[in-house]
Amino acid sequence: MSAGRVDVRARLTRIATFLGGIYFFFYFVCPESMIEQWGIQEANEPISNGFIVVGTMAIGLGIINIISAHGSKVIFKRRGWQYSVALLVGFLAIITTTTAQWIESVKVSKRVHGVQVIGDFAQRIIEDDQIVSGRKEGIVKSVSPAGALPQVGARISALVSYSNLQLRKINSEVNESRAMSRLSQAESELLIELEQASRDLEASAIILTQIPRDSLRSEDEAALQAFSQKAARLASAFSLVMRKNASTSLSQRVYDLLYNGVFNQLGSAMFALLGVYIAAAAYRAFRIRSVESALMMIAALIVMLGQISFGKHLYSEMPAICQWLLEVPNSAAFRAIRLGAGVAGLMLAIRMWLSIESTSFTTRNK
Amino acid sequence: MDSASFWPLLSTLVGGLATLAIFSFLIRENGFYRFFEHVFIGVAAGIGPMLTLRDFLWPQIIDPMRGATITTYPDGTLSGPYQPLYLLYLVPMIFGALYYALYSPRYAWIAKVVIGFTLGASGALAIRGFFAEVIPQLAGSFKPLVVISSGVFSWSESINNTLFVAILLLVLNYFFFTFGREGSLQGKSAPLGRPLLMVCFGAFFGSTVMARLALLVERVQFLLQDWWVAVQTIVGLG
Repeated sequence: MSAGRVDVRARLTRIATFLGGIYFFFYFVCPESMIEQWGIQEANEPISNGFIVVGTMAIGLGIINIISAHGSKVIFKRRGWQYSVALLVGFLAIITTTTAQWIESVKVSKRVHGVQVIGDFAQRIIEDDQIVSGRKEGIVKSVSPAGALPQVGARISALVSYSNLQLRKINSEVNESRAMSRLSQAESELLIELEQASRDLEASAIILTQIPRDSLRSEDEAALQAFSQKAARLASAFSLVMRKNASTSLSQRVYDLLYNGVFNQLGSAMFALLGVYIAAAAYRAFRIRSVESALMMIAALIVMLGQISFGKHLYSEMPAICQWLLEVPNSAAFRAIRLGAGVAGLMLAIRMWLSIESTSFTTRNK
Repeated sequence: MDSASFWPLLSTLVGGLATLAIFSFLIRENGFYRFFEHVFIGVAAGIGPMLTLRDFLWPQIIDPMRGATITTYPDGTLSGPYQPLYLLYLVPMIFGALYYALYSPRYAWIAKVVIGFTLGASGALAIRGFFAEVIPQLAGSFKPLVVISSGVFSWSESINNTLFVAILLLVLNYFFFTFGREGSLQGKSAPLGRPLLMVCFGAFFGSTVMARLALLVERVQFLLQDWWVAVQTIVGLG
């Protein structure tokens, strides 16, 4: 390969590195008024998300590596292959259960959204009518694929029939829940609340059918508003019932077992295990061989004794001394370390951004 | 045993076994420990990508791109127009997909371009982070040396603030290597930073030990209370 081509690749990498940072740099150094004027403020979230998307695409690399490293160990039965099986089983089990639980939660969200739409649609009918009739300034948010928005009366008829359909569905789901399983006190109360909200909405829907077809009068608006509020209450009660049901599904149970029963417990146990080793390391570190190690030991002892009741039993002012030690000498020294590390980090960041830091990264591997 | 009590019981039993397996390392490294260690790595490696996909990539990128955030109302109208600009997310997706060029010996250099882009963005974010976080801390570090509250001179606060500033300067001075120290006041005062750093490290050590011990106590409590009760229930003694 010619040196020229290599140079182009290195230059391309350097340019990409510089371009990667330029947006965030300018977003930081430009005055806020300029950012607002150029509309960058609004676009900042999607742009930042775009940067995150680039990073998230690397997730597959990790998955491929883990599967190839441990998969090959299992296939060729290399030393310790049984542990690789355990790792792969844990890995695949959490992916499968998280996916199953996710699909379940998407189904629940869709079903709940179906009920939420009743209230949102009623509210939207009011807003659109206010704008169309000139009672409120703004742009009609709803979009009709047919072109013009349907008449208010037609929209309300659609709302009423949709809400009746949803209410019938909810009622059958409530009856099903009652027939399928033994309900706890809390679950029964939830269902009663849901039924009550459903009856309220049904009664409210009857009033809506009397609204004229052309535009809304103030009393019609009030009736729709009340309907919307009742629909929101129904949606909230329905959401509680659905989520309660979802929390007892098999996928959720297995997910909880893996997450709470395995992952969290193992994480806590690992950290707790380090506590034992840290105590052993303390024995070696705190052998007083110099003034400095003595200072370190005294500070550690004060902090430890200051956080337990035994320390207070030894000397009543121990917690106050511990607090002072943490707030004054420790805080000041740590602040100095952080400032030093911050300046070093700034230099490193500038060097990284301008591709001064790593020549091996921008030059060809030998 | 009904489903409502079976799953929490199973979770407690597995959690207890996992804890015992990790603690068995205290005797020596063994198969029981290694098995659960590998399970932990596997589960931890699986959770990260799934959570990224479930909580970020799908709801914030894929759903807006396919217009799933738009509601279709019962009369056939839509809650808002489709924003084709969301399709621009395909650009970072395709660009990010170039990471996989790493697996081709011929085109591996393309992955470096993406890695460079990500590094550049992180570098610029770190520059922003420095000015947003470190500079206010620097300004906040120089506290008033003479504190008068409600017209009365506060000895304790004044001494504490003076000590704070002195320790800060001494420790900063300890790390200052830019120009010659020998013979100068700066050089002579530099060793004073060392014992102060030791106090800081000691305090950190103490805090860390206490945090870890708190976790250890929690684990032992879990084993003696929850897990032991679960074992007794299974054996039929509970």
